[in-house]
Amino acid sequence: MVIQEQMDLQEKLNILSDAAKYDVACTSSGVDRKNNGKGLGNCVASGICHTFSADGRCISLLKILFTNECVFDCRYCVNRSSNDVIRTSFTPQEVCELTMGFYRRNYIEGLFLSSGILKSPAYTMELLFQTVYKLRIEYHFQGYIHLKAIPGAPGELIERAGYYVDRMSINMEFPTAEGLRTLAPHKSRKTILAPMRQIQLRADENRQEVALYRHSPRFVPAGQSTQMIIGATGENDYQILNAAESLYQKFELKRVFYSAFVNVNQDTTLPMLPQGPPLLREHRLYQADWLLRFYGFQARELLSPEKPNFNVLLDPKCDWALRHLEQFPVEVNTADYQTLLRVPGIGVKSAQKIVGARKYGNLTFEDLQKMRVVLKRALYFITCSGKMMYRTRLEENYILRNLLASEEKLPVDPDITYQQLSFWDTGKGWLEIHG
Amino acid sequence: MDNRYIFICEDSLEGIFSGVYTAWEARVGHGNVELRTWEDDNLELFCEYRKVDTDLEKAEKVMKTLKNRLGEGITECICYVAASCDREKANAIYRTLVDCLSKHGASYGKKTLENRKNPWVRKVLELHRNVWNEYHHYLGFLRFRQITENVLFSTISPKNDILLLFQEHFGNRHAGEYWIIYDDIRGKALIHAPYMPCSVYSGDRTELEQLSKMEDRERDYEDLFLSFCRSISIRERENPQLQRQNLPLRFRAHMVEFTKN
Repeated sequence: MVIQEQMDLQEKLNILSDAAKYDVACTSSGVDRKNNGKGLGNCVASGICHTFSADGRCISLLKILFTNECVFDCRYCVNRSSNDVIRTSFTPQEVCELTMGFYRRNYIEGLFLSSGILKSPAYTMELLFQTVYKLRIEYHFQGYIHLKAIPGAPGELIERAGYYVDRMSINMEFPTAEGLRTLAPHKSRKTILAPMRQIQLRADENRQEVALYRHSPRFVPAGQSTQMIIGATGENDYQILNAAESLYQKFELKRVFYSAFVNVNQDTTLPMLPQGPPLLREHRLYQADWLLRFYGFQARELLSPEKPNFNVLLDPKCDWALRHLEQFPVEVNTADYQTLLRVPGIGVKSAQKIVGARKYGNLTFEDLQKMRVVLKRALYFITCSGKMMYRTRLEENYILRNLLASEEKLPVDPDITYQQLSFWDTGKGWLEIHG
Repeated sequence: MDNRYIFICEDSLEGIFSGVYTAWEARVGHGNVELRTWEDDNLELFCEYRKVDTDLEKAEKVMKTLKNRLGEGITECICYVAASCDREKANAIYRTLVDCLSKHGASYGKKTLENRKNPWVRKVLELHRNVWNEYHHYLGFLRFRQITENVLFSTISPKNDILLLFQEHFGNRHAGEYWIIYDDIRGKALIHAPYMPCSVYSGDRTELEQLSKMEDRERDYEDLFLSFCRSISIRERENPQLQRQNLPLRFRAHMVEFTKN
């Protein structure tokens, strides 16, 4: 029931951006497009952050819902149909004017348009399509557009919209099918994965068309992404990471986002989380996600059914290295790039620096320090010309204690201690005696 | 002991390139050369000071050599470094070019700048990163105000002299608009008219200052954006420290969402 018909733009924006804030994706990267001389805007492949909100997340796109008048009743969602919240909708014209006004002033990099389900998925998708069509064709907007595809919408509508936007995404919501069944009864695995597959296949075809005819219209040039909620159901990190890996491999997704669950509805089927959202767990999953995409790791290397969750005290790469000490130490001057990438503390940038600089002569630890390769973690795992930096032991407990002693402070439950400390094993004991 | 030679050039890309040309041509031994963009009141002993006049022809020659011998990538990197605010930049550029262009240099004949064992190459790469980061930050953090019917105006206070770098990005993005970007630290402005190349104005400051105090004609958008920035933040995740890390305070002076309440 709509009680208030008239609402000014400011109020609408407040309500519909507040409703969209739990969507994580705010990236504007992945496509390079010059202005064609007719309209406003272009795209930069690296993406540009325009400001940062109080929670430290970047604001790069005008992130709004088209409407929060939703017929679905997903238990975790603030806009579910059983909630008593103020409902409102934009008109396509309002969205276009807001986007153009903000973009001209360089407030944003483009538009992120999502929506609640108004009447039916098909009806909503049609509205979203009209909006992006208007923005591109009538307003000649050439900035970035990220559009949410509505699960259950007809395929041809999704395909038509794909030609006017840069990125499309459909939220997975939960890594397991039963999570989806209990918490989002109106959505199903099928209605989520079918359009995802459709976008993937169409994008593949389109790449070949573009290779053949350079000026043919481009379909979702910045690829597709998705998002999973972390900590609302009982799934473990192994399940989440496996789901993410298969999405990257089988659906060629550009990004999988993880969103620490915030209990907005106080629903009885959902966990209470008195300590706040599981941010550290989310952080560890992002670290692992990077290991999958840029470091050549596989999900089954990082976790296993016997050890299904990440160690909150250590980042996933350190954790992996400590369990595979037989592969260390690595000689910086001869190891190949892929091996260097697996050393804790050496990332993509550092590995590239090392591979580039060692063509000009043997590297020493001093060189590494001056090149700003961070040795805090790496020093336990590498040698330069056959020597370690200090006298250290290649032993799991020893390295672990030292890493934790110099780590940034993490919220550790004081009751959990890794191992009983003895007089000789306090913190950086070995270094004090022998270093 | 050999005399040291200090070449003092103008603080601009053309000035530094003229300096590089003159110092190279002087044939006093690369090791004895120091290139500076500033003059000291205290003169050093056993040093010969030479002032280099900016000569566009010489600068052009250096630019051409860089493009031909080292490629576009390194040339662009050197140009970014020339915009830096670091006092050592001219010398770092000279020594890096010696490493790349002199027959005795370690990077001779290579088209990549990765000899990080050489401290001057390290310095150039570090300055490049610094300038590029600031430029890239400003691509997002710069705010336009519509001060008249169709003119957009923006004020920035960058540490490095990055004003000229904006012409490509905003010239393309706002191709059909009148806009002005005013660097209030150096008192110069980049001016763009629809579908024309940009021009630099560095004359009377007072006029630019007046323009920079004008308000947005359509103030609605400022208010709308301010409330958008507030409502998009998740209360349970608030983290001002992270916000400060991503968006340092020095950028906020000209950003509407932080200056307006």
